[in-house]
Amino acid sequence: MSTTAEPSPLALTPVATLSVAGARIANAARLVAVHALLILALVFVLGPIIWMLTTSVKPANEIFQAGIDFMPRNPQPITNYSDAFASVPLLQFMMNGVIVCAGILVVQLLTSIPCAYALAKIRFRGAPVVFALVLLGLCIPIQVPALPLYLAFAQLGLLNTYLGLMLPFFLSVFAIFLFRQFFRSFPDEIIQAARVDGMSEFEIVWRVVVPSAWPAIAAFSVFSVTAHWNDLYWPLIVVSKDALATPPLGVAFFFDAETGSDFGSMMAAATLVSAPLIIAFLVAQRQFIQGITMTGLK
Amino acid sequence: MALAADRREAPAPAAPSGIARQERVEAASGYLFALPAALLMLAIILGPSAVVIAMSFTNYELGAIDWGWIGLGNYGEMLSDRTFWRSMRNTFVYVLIVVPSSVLLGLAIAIMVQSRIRARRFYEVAFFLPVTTTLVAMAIVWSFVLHSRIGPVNAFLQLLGFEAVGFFTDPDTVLFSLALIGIWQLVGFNMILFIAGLSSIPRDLYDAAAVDGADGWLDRFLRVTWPMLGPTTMFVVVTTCITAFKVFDTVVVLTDGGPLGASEVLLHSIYLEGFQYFRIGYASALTVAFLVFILVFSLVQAWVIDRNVHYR
Amino acid sequence: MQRLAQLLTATAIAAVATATVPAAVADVEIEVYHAWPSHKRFHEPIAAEFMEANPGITVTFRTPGPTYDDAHQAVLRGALTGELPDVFHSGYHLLRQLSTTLAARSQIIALDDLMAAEGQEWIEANYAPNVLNLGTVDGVFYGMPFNASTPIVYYNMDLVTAAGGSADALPEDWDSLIALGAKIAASADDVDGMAYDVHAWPDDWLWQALMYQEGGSLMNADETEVAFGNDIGLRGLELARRIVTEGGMPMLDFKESRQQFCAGKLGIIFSSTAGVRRFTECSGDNFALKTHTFPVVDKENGGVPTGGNAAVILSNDAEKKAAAWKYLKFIAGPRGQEIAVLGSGYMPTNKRAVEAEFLGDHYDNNPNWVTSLNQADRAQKWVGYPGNNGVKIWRTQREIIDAVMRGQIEPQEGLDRMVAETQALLPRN
Repeated sequence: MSTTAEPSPLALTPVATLSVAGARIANAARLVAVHALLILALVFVLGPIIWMLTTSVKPANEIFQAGIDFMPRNPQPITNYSDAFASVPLLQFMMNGVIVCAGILVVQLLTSIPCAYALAKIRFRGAPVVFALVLLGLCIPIQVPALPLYLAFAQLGLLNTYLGLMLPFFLSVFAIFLFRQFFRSFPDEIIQAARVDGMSEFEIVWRVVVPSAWPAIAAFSVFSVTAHWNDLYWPLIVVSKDALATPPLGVAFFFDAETGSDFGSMMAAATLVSAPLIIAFLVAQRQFIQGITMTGLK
Repeated sequence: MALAADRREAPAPAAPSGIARQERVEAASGYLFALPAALLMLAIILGPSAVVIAMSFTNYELGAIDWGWIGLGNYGEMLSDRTFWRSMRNTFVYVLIVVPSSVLLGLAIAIMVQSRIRARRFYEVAFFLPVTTTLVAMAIVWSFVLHSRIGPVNAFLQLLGFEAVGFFTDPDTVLFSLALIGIWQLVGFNMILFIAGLSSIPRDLYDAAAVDGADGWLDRFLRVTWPMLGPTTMFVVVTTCITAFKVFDTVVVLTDGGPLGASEVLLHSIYLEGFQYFRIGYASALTVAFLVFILVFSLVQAWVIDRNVHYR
Repeated sequence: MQRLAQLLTATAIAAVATATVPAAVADVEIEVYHAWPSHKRFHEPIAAEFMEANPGITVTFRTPGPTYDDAHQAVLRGALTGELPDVFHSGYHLLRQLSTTLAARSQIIALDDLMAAEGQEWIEANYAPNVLNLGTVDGVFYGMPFNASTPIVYYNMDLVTAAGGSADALPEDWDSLIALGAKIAASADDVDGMAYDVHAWPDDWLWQALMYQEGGSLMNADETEVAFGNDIGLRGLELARRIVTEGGMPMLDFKESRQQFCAGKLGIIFSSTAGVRRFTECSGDNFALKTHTFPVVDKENGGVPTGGNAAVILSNDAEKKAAAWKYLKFIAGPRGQEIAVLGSGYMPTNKRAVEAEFLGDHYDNNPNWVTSLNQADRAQKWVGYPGNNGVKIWRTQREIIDAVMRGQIEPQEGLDRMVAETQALLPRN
């Protein structure tokens, strides 16, 4: 281990008065201390997740037997999961989650990319006005327009529909903001060349600019899917049927007083609902982390 | 708003012939591209938000046939409503617990993780994991882990000789327990933002500081890291404030505002008044109060982004 | 670009695939809404049998409301936004408010004519007058009684025995109950005595039980004023406080307290007979479970409130109405009741359900299930408040009761506040 080689706020400054051996010992001690602290923090961060996983395979009589016995003694990998599937339509919830997230994402990309391009690369008089609206929209979370949207959706018969679940999110001002920043660094010469070649602005957006913006699109997709897979507020308001419930809503409904004492299958259900995003994250960590970082706003 | 005006790029040099025509085509497609987004924005964000503000001056209740303008009546009621003040207080206490804890913890972890070499990736992924979890599902897990009587955390506390804690059932504790879940989900997110900030600090600054006699990590932290992280820190603080201010999911799933209203928060009050008791007018006034606070946070954020951009 | 195109294609395919799943073809579809997600376990099998017997009718369910009060508010909201279910299971205490509100908008069906068309003989063969009374509001029969329950006491006999109690001498009055709770709480470190969760209950059922068992009531005879602002109300709050201070009751929430009992760490819990099945299952091999009747102070006039729900029809469409009526007759018929009773612990609302063909000797073999029937002669109507604020009134009252039980305010102060704040939410006339 050569931690000192890495420039960092924690790295040691070699001090002349210390012998090399002494420095090594101090270095090792520091290393141990840092890892100890990190592992302690990890217990807090990963504890509940591990608890969820181990409890989901514990037989009912073990769950309360010993308060802090982490590992199951007689693991039952199937029972709690099949119970969870039997008592709630989990697959339906997840399918709904996929449909809603995909629908939202596709329309968000279709509406925001051209607008962002127009703001970044096209000169037209309305641009400052549109951009001001974008900045204003950035500050308004869904909870603000929720009441009128609900009343309007009731009038339009959009409650309890997929469209009702998705429509309020069809435009992401944040996507416009993000893509605009990204497109601005795209070389103007290439766009001019494309124009000279006779490409329409439409073709320029989708065939010239977008392919180079893949990192931004991936980042935004991660952000959007994470946000809408996990959203509770809006589904809670517009949906009252299992057939349309998204995963958080389904799980929230499932958690009633009586089924609530069946911890094993509760934990199994929680595991299943969290699994898709966690697995996606573990598979594509770099894109996820980059996505969330780039899209800092949450 | 300054972002729009001062940082637009200079017009690209255009070809000498057919300039006017090309500009017209360009402008036309500009409007065309911006139109769907602008219409949607008016229809689903700005329009409804304006309607909320208008409704906050009415006594409209869902389904009511006769209703009218009552001026500032709802705001008057709000100011004398015990529940409103309680949820404001609770929301702010929640924010005041979550923001400093998750920011400082995120920073500390970022500093420790960033200087690792082989283990860095592992720590980043592990700490980030909660960010990707479904909060509602994890809230249920937490309700079990922190059960007042039969939860593992209390079993552990009792093993150490402490009294069992009513994490979600003691009015003095419940906000802290909800905050704990909030911190849990935010730490990894803040850590990643800080790591990004740390990575952009030029290494020669540390060398220069060493030449100036800064030795010991605290010295280096205070002289180089902390000042250089300024913009990142501001950004993280504001983002965390907005997220914390919107606390809702855990309250709905775990406490329903109880016990004794000790976890009643602003969004939950709005939800109850608007969607449970159908008092749309009053719920709109509460929403306007919510919006005001979010706007304040957002303005600070816009200002921070602005400064942040200048920095680079 | 290519990857984006792939993404778009993939999601488009997924969307089309799900959209084209063929919808079940049926002549009539009725949508049913009930409270309590755990009730799915009997609603769904009943509906399945019903559909098998009636091929032209499809029954679908809304996602269950978390509690009666939540479901009630959701239906009221649905009435205003045109999102009503065809059949709704209303908690008895809110049936009056529901029917008054919806009848004014012609959105609820009075069932009297439908009942009459079935003939007096059929009615008498199936339903006792006091059961039908549960679904009647001001003389109009709106709700077909589906579930009926009374509060009973559940004992963890392992803990009772360890504390020196015995199955033959379970407490019949509050003092000995509290004394037993105290002994259980003292018997082990990680065990609590008893739970009377009136402060956390999602509706005012257990609060009404405290009034009824002393012969009290909620409202005065002409329903203009709150009637518990008296000694009965005061003693009710004092008793609730004593259960905490003397009986070893931890102030948990609704879920936690049940979970604790299931974990075998709570000696006594008051709950609905509807939980017999669930508590039997969760006690499993961990501990012996025994139920007992609710202690009643006033043996003459005292009683217990009848919990449960009645099914109402909210569709004016002639076809749906006819299908819904068929459904109501089935679920409140002997076979429907057999499934409902066995799936929960509720008492049957249909006389014939106890016949040999249906429940038969179930009660003889399962003594824990009989307790509620043993106190059936004391069962009174679970009533609601006039006006539209029933749900809000309980949220308000509950918080005051909670404060009294935690010792933050004195019972008298709590009672005064309960009376004043309830009165303020009642209609003014």
